[in-house]
Amino acid sequence: MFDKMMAKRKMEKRIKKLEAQECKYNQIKTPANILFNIILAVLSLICVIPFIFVIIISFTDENSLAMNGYRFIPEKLSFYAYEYIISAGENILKSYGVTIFITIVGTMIGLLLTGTYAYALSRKTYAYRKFFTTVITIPMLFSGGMIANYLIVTKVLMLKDSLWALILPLCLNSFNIIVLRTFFKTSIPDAVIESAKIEGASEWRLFFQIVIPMALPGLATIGLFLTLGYWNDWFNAMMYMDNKDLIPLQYLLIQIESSIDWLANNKATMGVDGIAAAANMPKETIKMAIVVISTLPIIFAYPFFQRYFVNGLTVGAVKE
Amino acid sequence: MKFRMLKKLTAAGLAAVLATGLLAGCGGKKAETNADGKEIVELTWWQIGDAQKDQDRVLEKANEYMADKIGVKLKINTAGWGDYDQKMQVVINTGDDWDLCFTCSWANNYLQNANKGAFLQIDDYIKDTEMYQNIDERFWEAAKVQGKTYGVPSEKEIGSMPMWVFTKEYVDKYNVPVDEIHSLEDLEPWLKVIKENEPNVVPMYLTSSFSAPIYMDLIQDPVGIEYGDETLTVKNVFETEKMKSTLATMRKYYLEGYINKDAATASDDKSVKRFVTKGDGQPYAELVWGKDLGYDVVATPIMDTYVTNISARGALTAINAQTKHPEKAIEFLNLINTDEYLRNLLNYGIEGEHWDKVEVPAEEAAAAEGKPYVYENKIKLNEETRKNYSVSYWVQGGLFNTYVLENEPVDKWATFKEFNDSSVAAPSFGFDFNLEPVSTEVAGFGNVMDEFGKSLYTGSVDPDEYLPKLQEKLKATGIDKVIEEMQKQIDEWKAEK
Repeated sequence: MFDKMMAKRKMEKRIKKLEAQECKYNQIKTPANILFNIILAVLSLICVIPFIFVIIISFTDENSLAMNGYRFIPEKLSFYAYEYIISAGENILKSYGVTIFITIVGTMIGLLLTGTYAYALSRKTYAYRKFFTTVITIPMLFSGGMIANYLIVTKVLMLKDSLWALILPLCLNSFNIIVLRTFFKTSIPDAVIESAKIEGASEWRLFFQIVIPMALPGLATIGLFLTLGYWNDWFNAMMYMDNKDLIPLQYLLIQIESSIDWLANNKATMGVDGIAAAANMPKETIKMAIVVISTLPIIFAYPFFQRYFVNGLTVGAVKE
Repeated sequence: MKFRMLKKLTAAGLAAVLATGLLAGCGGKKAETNADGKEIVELTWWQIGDAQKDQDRVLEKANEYMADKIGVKLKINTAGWGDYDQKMQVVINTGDDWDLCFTCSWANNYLQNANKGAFLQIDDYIKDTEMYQNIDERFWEAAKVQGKTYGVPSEKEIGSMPMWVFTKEYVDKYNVPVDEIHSLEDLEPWLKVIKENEPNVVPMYLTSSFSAPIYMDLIQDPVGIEYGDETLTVKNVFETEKMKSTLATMRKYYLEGYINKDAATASDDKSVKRFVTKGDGQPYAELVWGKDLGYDVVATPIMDTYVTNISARGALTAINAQTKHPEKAIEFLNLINTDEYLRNLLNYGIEGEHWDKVEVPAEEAAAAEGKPYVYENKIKLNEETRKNYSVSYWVQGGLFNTYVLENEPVDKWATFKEFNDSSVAAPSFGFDFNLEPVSTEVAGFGNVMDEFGKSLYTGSVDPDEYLPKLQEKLKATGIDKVIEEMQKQIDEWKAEK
């Protein structure tokens, strides 16, 4: 026992030494290092500044915004926008709830469907593999178009004005299935499946207790795709939702935005009526506040999924 | 064998479950009836604009009233300003269940939908209705597509009235004779005065949605017929002398520094102090502009007001060609265009909650006596609750049977009526251009206009250099063919008239 520990410690020491040696040759020179750091800093600033700007605007006083335009350091701070959303923005909060609901439920259903479908396709022993691969390839290349989709969802499935119309159309995506199938194929050795079968695992047990834990990085990736897809989806809401209580946040934003744009661009045709209509639109700071509250949760979702991505990088690193 | 049997059974079972699910969805509802025992029909109405928080409560009241009166109840669906076009295309093309919809020349295109057969032809239904008598006949004329009527117009201003909008502060300060200023050229001395004396003020503030004053009916931008041209000669607007000189003047103003430098790309920024800008108005538009900007403005018309198909089709309500209740739909449209209570309820919301009646000052009432469309009271909107219900008034019906707001003159609608009566019909009024033979060419105009229109109109580029370029592009796109086709159609139209 003791021997073994000694040997292990020695081994570790040696590895450390080797690593240190390697590091010496891998290091980049200071000027280059500084240059790269600057480039990366600039790039990340370009990504972050618009967000910070949006947050600042959402805290700016509406009047000083009208007077001075957008500014990094606002003349006067105000929490009016957030107060408005909490007190009067009933529909905003409702939409928030709808978005959260469809994202969570949709991602779970989507993962289950995508996972099982992809897993079945990844098994070489599955008899209808070819057929079902073709089935998912077709919608990847062709689509029925807007009208056909609309007819199916509203007339055949009868999903108009139902939350399912926001969930089901995005659940299963050919691309996701193919990504996940490839992931299953490469990261789960046939030997594991075979041995589990020999031990007497049923297909369900095999999938839920062996395959899923091994494929977490892949599932997390698809999960992130789905979460983002649901969170940002507004098109389905535009098509299938006439009930104003069931529209997701993003569609609410799009509606406000496109209405304002449209009224601005059609001033000549609308004349005075357009100005009267524009006066009823939410103010600039409120728009920005909606953007802030609609972005925050998804920012928090990233680190959660990231854990699995790091994991995923090492999974296939070494081939035995 | 047994296993296979089981599989088949499951499949059949699944199919059955799905089928029942479908059927259940179509199950019939029990019909509601009103006090007289008549069945109440529900009409689905698509409107442009944003959904209102208190809409359900307002509708509840309206439905109560209409159930006993005509046996109708309403369901209103809305689509936002920017989405309405696309949404209605889907709703119409997929044969959705709807009865009424908002349509006009600039959204959910009236002409196209009428030609396509999406709307019910209503000539036989409307003949004996009260609204047919009440609404200005020119609106009805404009609603005709190839001699047939497909929608009920909302009575409002019939022509578009381009105006110069001046900031009152500077008008008073420099004694600008606003009423004498009409053409673009009339502005020049005053722009100069402002430029010299008010360094912080933009003399002429223009934004990207600006178009120079156009003295013709642009039937298909940029092709149309000049106002007052009784010979009905189709022209390219950029080849008319009027436009050429206008563009040269704009260029001159731009070089003099009268126009803001970013005019071709700017969107309206209210914080910019301006002396004059262009607006498309109607009687009492100053009140709306002034409220929007936060200071008083005065306005003067640039040219006489002309009635064109586009302007007179500013707002209509059409009935679905497939509707199950055409009579009820007409009956309802008649009611909303004639019934004072219902109209104001849907327009402003619930009395006592969204608005209250206020007295008309005695002298104002006396002055307005005998004029049409004058009501006994004005109304005051409740500042708190109005944001829960503020719809665009002309979407739902005519304006003339609504009450006026507290700050508006009591004879507002009488003035509108006068304005409409004094508007001149453009020579091309009533002519519809059939795009089909030249649809490819017309589709290309949009791009060309996007490329050159804004910078030319605002004087940002030199017309001597860019106008020929624009002409060349339009020629390449096939403008000659479009002019020829339109001329042919308009000659036929004229011969029939």
